[in-house]
Amino acid sequence: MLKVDSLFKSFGALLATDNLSFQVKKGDIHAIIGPNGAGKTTLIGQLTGEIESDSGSILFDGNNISGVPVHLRSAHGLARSFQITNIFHDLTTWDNVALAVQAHAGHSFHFWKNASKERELRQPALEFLGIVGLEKRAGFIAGLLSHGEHRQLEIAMALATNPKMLLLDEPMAGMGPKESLAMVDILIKLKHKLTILLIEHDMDVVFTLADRITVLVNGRGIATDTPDAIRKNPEVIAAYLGEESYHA
Amino acid sequence: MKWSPRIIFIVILMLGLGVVPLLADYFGEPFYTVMFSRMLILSIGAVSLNLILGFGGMVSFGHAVYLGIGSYMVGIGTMHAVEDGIEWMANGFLQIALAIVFSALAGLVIGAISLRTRGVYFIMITLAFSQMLYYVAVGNEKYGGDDGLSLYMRSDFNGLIDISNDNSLYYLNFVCLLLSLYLSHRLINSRFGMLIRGAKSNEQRMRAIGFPVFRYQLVAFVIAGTICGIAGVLSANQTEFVNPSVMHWTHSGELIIMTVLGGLGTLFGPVIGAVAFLFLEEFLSGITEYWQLFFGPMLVLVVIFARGGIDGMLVGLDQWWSRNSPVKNEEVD
Ligand SMILES: Nc1ncnc2c1ncn2[C@@H]1O[C@H](COP(=O)(O)OP(=O)(O)O)[C@@H](O)[C@H]1O
Ligand SMILES: [Mg+2]
Repeated sequence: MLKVDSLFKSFGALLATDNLSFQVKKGDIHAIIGPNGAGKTTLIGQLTGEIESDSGSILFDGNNISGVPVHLRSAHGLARSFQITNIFHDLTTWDNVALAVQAHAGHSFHFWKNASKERELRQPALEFLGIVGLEKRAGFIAGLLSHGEHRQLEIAMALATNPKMLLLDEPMAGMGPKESLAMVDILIKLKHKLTILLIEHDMDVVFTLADRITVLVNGRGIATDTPDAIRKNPEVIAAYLGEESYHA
Repeated sequence: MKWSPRIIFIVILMLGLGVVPLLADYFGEPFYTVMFSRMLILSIGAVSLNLILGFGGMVSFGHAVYLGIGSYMVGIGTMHAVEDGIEWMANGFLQIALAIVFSALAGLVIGAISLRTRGVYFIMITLAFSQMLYYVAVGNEKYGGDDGLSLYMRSDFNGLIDISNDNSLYYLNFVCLLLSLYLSHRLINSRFGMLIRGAKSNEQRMRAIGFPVFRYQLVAFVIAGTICGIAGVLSANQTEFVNPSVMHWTHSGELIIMTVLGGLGTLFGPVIGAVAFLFLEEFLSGITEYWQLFFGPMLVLVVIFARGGIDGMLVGLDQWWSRNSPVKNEEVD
């Protein structure tokens, strides 16, 4: 589904992505783990095109998408959620998702018809809200929702663009235990329906959900393997998992 | 539609604007027809600016340039009609058509360049373009240069409407304002409008969900400029005089102030703002010649204390009203 080859990105002297290569299989939940500052968010930005890579190639669903602008990558079927909540705060929850549906319903040079009465936008939007459990919040101004609900809305918006692959940047960051569980349920629901690249700090979640894991340290991929193999990998334990258990 | 203080206020305002010439004639004060005519024309300008500024978040600091383009279409046409006997150049329909074409072209060029930037750069580029056209008009001696052109006749609408009469010009302005409001209403609620508002709210997110934002913003920019160009045609007929100062940046600034004062991103906000602005100007300048000393701080206060402008205050009044109204709707979540 996704093949990243020798990807580089530096911010001045800092190498945020350092000769990174890995592959994501279709239908997998592929987790990216690594300490803060490892370059995980940067990698997502490079995949969506928001951050321009210095070199390397990104093959998505058979197409080389390196150098393709952001909105076209979305049209190819790549969708992301953001680590920091990134929604339309002053529109309603429903409008937020309807806009995402609209983005993939052909061009938007419709100047006359009332968009909030168009069934082909509103109905699918409501269904996506249902998948993430937000249908009761449809009429609320999105900015007023709780943090956990914002994250759910992010997922609904990403789903509404009808993607082949979801890039989720710490979807559970800052959530309480109950909200996190709800999010895990959502991801389980989505598993196998589409391919997911999941960045997550909570190791329990990662080892529960992921089919494969790539470990990133200082921009370098030090291992890509199954959860069991990653757990036993001495290099990973030394570089990341070991450090994590010290802090725990 | 539910009646509320805000709705009642807006209905009274619009009905009031509809009967100004009748009242002015009745009281023998035709001056008021002219004064309110100006309000209508600047309302159209503010309504068009609100499309990109209020709904689209594009702070164009050169919107008066389109007033200038529309005005000069009338000024130049009328000059050739009167001095060279080329009568068709005074035709109002033709002048409006030309104002649309040239405003759209100007909007296309200015937008295509300025929309590649954001924030202060965007403001500065729109400002720079409008000042450039201002100086072009100042330097163009053939069409009056700095002094401008006096119109010896108003535009000719093939005898369909005779706007040489101030009252009929007033109603032409009024109809144009209603049309611009209706057009705005349709636009902002359409898919196109949702996109423009989404891009104001969160542009990065718009790209991430797959919108090519630039081309839509550019179209919005062109539409806004075109509507304002038509207001320019009306404005020249109103004042029977065209000069470069309509395009001056201070005039663009006034359009922004009217829009902000009335309420950004609401349909009627710009009309309320334009009327309030010109009222205050008239009233304060009648009291003291230092009126700007009072006007400035008043505007600052409104902007600071009434986020959302006057229309924002009315929305607040509505909320207060519905909380304290005797019949409570028991709404269950
Ligand atoms: N726009 C930027 N400019 C400069 N440095 C950046 C920028 N974005 C990220 N970085 C740096 O790149 C490194 C990787 O950041 P990031 O991808 O956010 O890590 P992670 O998401 O794994 O915590 C960090 O050291 C960060 O400070
Ligand atoms: Mg990060």
